[in-house]
Amino acid sequence: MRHITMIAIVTMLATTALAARAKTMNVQVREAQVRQAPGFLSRILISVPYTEPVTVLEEKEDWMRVQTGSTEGWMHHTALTTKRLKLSGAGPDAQTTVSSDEQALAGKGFNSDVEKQFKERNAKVDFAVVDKMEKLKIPVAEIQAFLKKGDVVPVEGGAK
Amino acid sequence: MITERIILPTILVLAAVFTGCKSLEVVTKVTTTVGVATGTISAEQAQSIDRSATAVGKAFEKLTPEQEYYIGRSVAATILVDYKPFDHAAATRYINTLGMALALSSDKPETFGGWHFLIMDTDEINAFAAPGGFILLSRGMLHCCRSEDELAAVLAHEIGHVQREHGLRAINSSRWTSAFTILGTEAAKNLGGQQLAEMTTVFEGSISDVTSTLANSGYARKLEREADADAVVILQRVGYNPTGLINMLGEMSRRLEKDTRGFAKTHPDPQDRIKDLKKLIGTVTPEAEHPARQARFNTALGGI
Repeated sequence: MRHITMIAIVTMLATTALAARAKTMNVQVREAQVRQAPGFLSRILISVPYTEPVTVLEEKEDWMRVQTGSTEGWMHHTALTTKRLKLSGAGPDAQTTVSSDEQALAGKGFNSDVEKQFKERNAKVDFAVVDKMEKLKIPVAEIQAFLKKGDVVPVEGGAK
Repeated sequence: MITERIILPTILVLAAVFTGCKSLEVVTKVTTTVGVATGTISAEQAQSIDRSATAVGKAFEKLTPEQEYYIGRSVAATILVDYKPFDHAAATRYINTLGMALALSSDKPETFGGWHFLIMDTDEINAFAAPGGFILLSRGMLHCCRSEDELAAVLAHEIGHVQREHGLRAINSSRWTSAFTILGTEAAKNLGGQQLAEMTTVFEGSISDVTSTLANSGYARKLEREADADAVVILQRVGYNPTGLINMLGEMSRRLEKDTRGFAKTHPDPQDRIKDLKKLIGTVTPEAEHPARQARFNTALGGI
């Protein structure tokens, strides 16, 4: 009887531990959006910055229902990672990363410091054009209207 | 002369082996300050490409989206030394809107810095997919597209290259060995002066590897097939006819015949890709007429 109780307790603890570990993921893009429903055309509730942890409540195909602060909503799985990413305090580009076997290059390898030195060594390389390229952001509502106006209708299931 | 005798057969062998779109499309004149492009393909580069094409390892998979982003920025900036951007706000907004619609239906809608599309001001038929979602298309490439569905096909193909991280595979495995060695000497902190300098050298080498592959040699045929297959899936998810890719390749094939610059004469015909695509798509339905779609395509890109 005691053995059975012990096994039950150990199993319960192990399950709890696994579940707890699986529940937290970190934002691996500069800024990720939490949406009201699974789909990019859904309303944005909140934006979550790089490295911020979120609690995963549910998974549905490519989408995860997450909690961050008091907000619950959906994030695309490609915005999240189980890898630990940690800021040193001076913003996303100055982060250090907890190194681990599966993530030897993360954070420390190629970052803004390296890019800065690369620029110094290669004065002709034109980052201003790339900066300008990055500034153009098309709102989702505009994309949605674009598809509608062009009569672009999904063949199989539509936008993910 | 002796060198030329060695290089020319190498190019021909490469053309036969690496029948990717970059081999087809790229005119090799990217001369960069990082010593990337040489205007031709050396035997050493050929070996490097060979190694990368046969997948030297999967170290690139350890990269975070942030690092992929920094590689992509520098690759794009390096290419844009030789290819100036085409300053046309309406056309740029149009390809970004279409590109975003496609990227959101890809398997990698979220990248560190988002997806971005730029038109290069050249008649050369050319397209580059830099890691992280920086896609560059030439006016010459846009001229191969006669409808929005065909343009969508070009963009979806390039998105395919990015989502499969094909650019990162071009990075020589020796870079990873160097990077791990540098990182191994240092605890979990920011890199210091000497290490930062060494890491920048590794970074420079990596940018050179990727840019050289994009600009000079092209991807292995297998990777081009993957990007074409991805394009078909993405187009169908959004609602464009994948026949657009076949039609665009047909037009590209015709235009390449007339284009005597660079390697255009020796590049394999896009007809091979068309054959593969026909097998992949199965029933090829002609592009339907969509007046509103065609009108905005003509308005945005008609004058370029």
